[in-house]
Amino acid sequence: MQNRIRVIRGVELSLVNGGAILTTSFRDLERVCKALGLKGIPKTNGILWKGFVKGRFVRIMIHKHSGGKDVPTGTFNCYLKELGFSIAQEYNEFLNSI
Amino acid sequence: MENNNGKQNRDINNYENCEETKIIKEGSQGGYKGGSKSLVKGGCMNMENIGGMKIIGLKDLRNNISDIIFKVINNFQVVLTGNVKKGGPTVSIISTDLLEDILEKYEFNPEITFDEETKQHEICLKEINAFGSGDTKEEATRIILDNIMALTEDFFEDIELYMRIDPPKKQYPYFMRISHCKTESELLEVLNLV
Repeated sequence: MQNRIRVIRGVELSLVNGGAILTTSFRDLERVCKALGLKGIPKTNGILWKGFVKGRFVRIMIHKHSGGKDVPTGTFNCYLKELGFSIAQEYNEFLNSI
Repeated sequence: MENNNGKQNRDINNYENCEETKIIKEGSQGGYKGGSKSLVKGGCMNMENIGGMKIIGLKDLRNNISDIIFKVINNFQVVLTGNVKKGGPTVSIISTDLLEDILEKYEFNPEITFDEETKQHEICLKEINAFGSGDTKEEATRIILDNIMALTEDFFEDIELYMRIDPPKKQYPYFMRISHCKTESELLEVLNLV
């Protein structure tokens, strides 16, 4: 199926499978953080992932109650950029490769 | 109480006189590296920087710590201290009330939105790169508060690293402001989440 691009708040989001916006669950985001070499530090209410990605320092806090939920679009866009991905498709490909 | 204050004020006056009279013993000695034109006033191991603020030597600080703290708290004076002989960086002693007034400039502007795609409320605090989301606005607020507490705790635990890199270094005054909140309601107010 042909992919389309939709722009939300100035950020390109890939639309796959005929229109569903590509987002991610917090659980998958944790897998990506781990695969990128970020260090997970347990905190009272979740895990703080921190470290350098492509020379840039990244800190992502994932709350213990967020686990299975999807990352909202605005938050996902910010995390995408921080983790060095230009578009959601790139993130998805990386996620599928780990 | 007044008598006690009067005594402390006299002590401070005495201390100030001591500072003024014990001046110009070592001339321009000292080699202060922090400022471009340092005026060294020796004797009491104090000197004055170009802005007119006295730098108190460590020995004088130790000997007069109570008076100095009293002056800082009650007279809104800021005291600079450091190694006057060797020069180098100094430490500022400032009243907490005054510091909090200065930090008020660093305002938080939360972005609160409803994400149609995931049907969640999300809150973003760009100043410190903190996020929170939930099925209700209250849940999103609870989660962002928890996340902020964790980020603040980590910031000050690892501050030696964070003060060497951008952007965390620029977030310092914001985390400082958060760390000075005494209650959750005060924190919510500071974060503009009420």
